[in-house]
Amino acid sequence: MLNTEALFDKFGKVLPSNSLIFCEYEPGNDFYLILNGQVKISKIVNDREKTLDILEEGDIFGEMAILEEQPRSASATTMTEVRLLHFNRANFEILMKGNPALALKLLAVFSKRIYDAKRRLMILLLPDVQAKVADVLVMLAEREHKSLDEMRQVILKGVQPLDLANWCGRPVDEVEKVANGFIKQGKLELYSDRIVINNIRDFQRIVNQKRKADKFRN
Amino acid sequence: MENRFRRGKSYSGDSTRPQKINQVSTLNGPVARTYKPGSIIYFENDAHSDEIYVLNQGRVVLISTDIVSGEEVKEEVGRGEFFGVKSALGRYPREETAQVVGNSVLLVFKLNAFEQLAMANIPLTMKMLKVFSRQLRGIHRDIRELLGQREISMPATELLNVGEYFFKNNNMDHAIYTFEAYIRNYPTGKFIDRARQLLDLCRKGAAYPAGLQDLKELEMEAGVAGGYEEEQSAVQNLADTPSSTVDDRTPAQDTPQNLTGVLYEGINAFSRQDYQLAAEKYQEVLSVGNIQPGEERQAYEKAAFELGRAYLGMGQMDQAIEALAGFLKKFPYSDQQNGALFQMATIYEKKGETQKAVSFYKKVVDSGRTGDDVRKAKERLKKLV
Repeated sequence: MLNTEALFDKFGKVLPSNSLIFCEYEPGNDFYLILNGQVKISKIVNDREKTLDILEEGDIFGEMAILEEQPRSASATTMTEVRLLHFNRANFEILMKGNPALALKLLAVFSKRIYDAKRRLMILLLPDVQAKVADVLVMLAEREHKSLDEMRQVILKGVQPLDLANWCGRPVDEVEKVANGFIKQGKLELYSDRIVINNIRDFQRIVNQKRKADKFRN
Repeated sequence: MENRFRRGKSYSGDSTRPQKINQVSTLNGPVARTYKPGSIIYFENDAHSDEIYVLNQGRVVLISTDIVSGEEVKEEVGRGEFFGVKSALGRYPREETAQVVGNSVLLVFKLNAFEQLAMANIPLTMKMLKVFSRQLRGIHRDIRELLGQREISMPATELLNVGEYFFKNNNMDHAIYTFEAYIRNYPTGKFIDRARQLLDLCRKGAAYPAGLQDLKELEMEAGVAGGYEEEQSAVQNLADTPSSTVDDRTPAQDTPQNLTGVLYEGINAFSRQDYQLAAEKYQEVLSVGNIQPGEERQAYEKAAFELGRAYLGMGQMDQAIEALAGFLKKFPYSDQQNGALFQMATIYEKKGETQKAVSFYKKVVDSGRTGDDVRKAKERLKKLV
């Protein structure tokens, strides 16, 4: 597999804990592969830092920089001492040739990203907030479980109304109103650290009906 | 909205021809499988499968539902093309139905065999990465559109704002990093003095200055006053309507003969149909070495694209093609890629080189992007093919 040690001499970096690797909105050409340690991906939203993801050994981040000259969409900060490899567009092709496993890994990362982005688009295209919230719940459940076929109850850890609102692209109060409606109907339970979906079928049904109605209209 | 996503079919091009595949994948595949007309290879939403296909003989269509329009979309797979790649690699359900039209032979790769192939054939993998990235960009653009977001319009101000957030929260190391990033990337930025002052205070370990006017407020005031947003892609905003807005957007007097200024002169000349002068101005921009990121780079990119159009204006088709090809090579990730490909296709069409024109129109359609160029390319293809 990936011969990382040989690459480390040329492209390696060791960063102490709590180092900013890159900052949100900063122009950047490098992308990174974590060899050891943890990296937090975060964003400042409404004057608060929001953690989007925590990455570990073998994870790639900043990869959009290979493809487009857009500013970084989030910040990356080390949470422990981190050893990583950093590459840029200029050495990308050489790197790929010398490290086919990395090329393959990127191919898989992009496949997944495309799926996630399409799924997000499908949520945003739903006609009303209720359907959007329902589909966000289905999508988050799909992420937790390989197949929802045999599932009824699904627990989403660490998800809050603000997250639902972000996924829906709607204001949080609007989303909370919909969520409260689901709670009253006994379909959903909201806790500070988790959301409990009592029967995921309820939400799949709402989404399917809306999609069908929408398709019919078209 | 029109269809914008090619699903499953992830790559087309010479290096995916099956004979090459056979050479490098003798260890554990691929397996040739024959299908009768009408057979379904897989259905949309079928659970994750680890099979990836290449059409060897016959005909296969991919039938999908366009996410945006809800319309059924049919695409024919070309011989030697892969399909079913993303869902197998990304481990998610199939995104389209693959149906055989005539008697067909497919090469079927199990995921591990495909992985061996991808690792042994890096140019192929690189091409796939580029196709995937274009698709991803297209989807991101649609998402932004639906959310009513434009491209990040003021990255410099936002960057500084993040630095100030760190400073206010006593995260000095991160604040210093961010202010330095601002100063490095936007040395002529509107808030350069503010960034320097804050960096200085941070280094001294001082507190965030009380009473400092909020950055966003300042930005808004500048906007209301019609201030020139130095880092905003003013050049990008000019887009394809140079004649109507150039004069209004000419940079403030304190940014005289910079690259953007020269570019504007070129665009102005173009709008007066003085293509010769326009070409000279664009070449002047392009002759500068050591391009800085940010506005200068955008000016450089725009000039590279516009040079092709200026040659076209002069009727110098071969030079136009050369310039546009140069642009495509230099800026493979530019938003203007489709514009350049479309221009090249029309030039070839004018020259009577229909085959080449078709190939370039197809590139536009296959880009995974949306917009007028894609729509127009589809129309031209209908007429030409």
